[in-house]
Amino acid sequence: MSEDPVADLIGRIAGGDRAAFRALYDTAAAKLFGVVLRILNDRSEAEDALQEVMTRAWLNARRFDAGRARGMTWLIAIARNHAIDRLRARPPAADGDEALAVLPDAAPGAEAQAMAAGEARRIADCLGRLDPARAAALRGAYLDGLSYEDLARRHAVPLNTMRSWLRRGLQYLKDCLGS
Amino acid sequence: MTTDRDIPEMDDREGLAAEYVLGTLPPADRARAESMIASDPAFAASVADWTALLSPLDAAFPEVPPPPGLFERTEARLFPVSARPAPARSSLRFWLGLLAGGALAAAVALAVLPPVARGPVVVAELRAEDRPLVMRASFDAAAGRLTVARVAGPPAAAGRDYQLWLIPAGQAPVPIGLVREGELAVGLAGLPAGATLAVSDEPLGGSPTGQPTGAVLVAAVVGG
Repeated sequence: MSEDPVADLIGRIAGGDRAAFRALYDTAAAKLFGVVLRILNDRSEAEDALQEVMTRAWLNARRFDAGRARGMTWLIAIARNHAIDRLRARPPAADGDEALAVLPDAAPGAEAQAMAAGEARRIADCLGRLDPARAAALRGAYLDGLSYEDLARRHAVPLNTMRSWLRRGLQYLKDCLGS
Repeated sequence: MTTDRDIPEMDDREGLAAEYVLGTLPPADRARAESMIASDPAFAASVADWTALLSPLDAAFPEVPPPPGLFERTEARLFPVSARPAPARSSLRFWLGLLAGGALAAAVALAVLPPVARGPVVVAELRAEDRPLVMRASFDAAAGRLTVARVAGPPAAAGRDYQLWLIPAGQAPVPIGLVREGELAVGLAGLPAGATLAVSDEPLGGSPTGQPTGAVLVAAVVGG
């Protein structure tokens, strides 16, 4: 048994262990549902997405490398990627910002609380040293699945400016977390 | 406050990896990044590094209990209870051989043969009426193994690959692997009820998007 019980479960799933699949669902589904629901902002689509994420976890478990990623990180990456692909496949919103307006900034109090603990604290501190608009753009991209276009519109800056904000913001996070 | 002057811009390759993980890339660049993950280990490692770097942000995602029954629906898709497996010819021959060889031989053989040899095997031919291409798929449920090989028709064109997909009924295709010379063998725990196996024509290395981009050449409904 390693220090990463989710990784252990994924390892067992790679061997076709259905009890481990059930245990993984019991352990991870609420978090994964939170991920796809926040990005898709549509309950019924999020339910489909969660089924797809669990299916991919089962089918791809053999490709999981416990030396490279924590189990939960791997699962959340599958969930984010799938939700973002679904989001990008949607027809563009007729009037731009209306679709964005209904996206909640997801209970900022609860989010701040979650980010104040453990490992998240450091990245929250690093984000806190960035210009607030740029930190908000990085969060909106990662947590809400917003695209360059969405973010450029939301922050009323040209596309290339937004891209540069995000690239520099990412570089800054890397330096800040590495120091 | 940190200003732009303090922050160097990263190079394009690393930028692509970082932006892929952030999720902001336009679909075409996203597809390019996915094809590089599959073909370029250094790029894949960079994506893994950025995934780990940004993963503390995952704490901000709330936990939301999914509705009851969702696991059962997922399970029903992955593991059909009403599959109609046909015994594989080889295992049929094995049993016939045992009968002919008598009880003693049977007892010895049973003692030394691994139990997985007795699993039901689903065999399907993937073909299309207007094409010479035929793929043979075989799924051994007990061993949890799917094998697919081209048994007729031409190999993929230069610079192209045949890519195998599993399509659970009513769902998006899941990429399984590339069918080149010889047999593609992958671990697969179950075939969802009504799932389709399909082979599409894709760029070398497989679809850059994770979904079929080229023509679906041959297909067969499998899994009950």
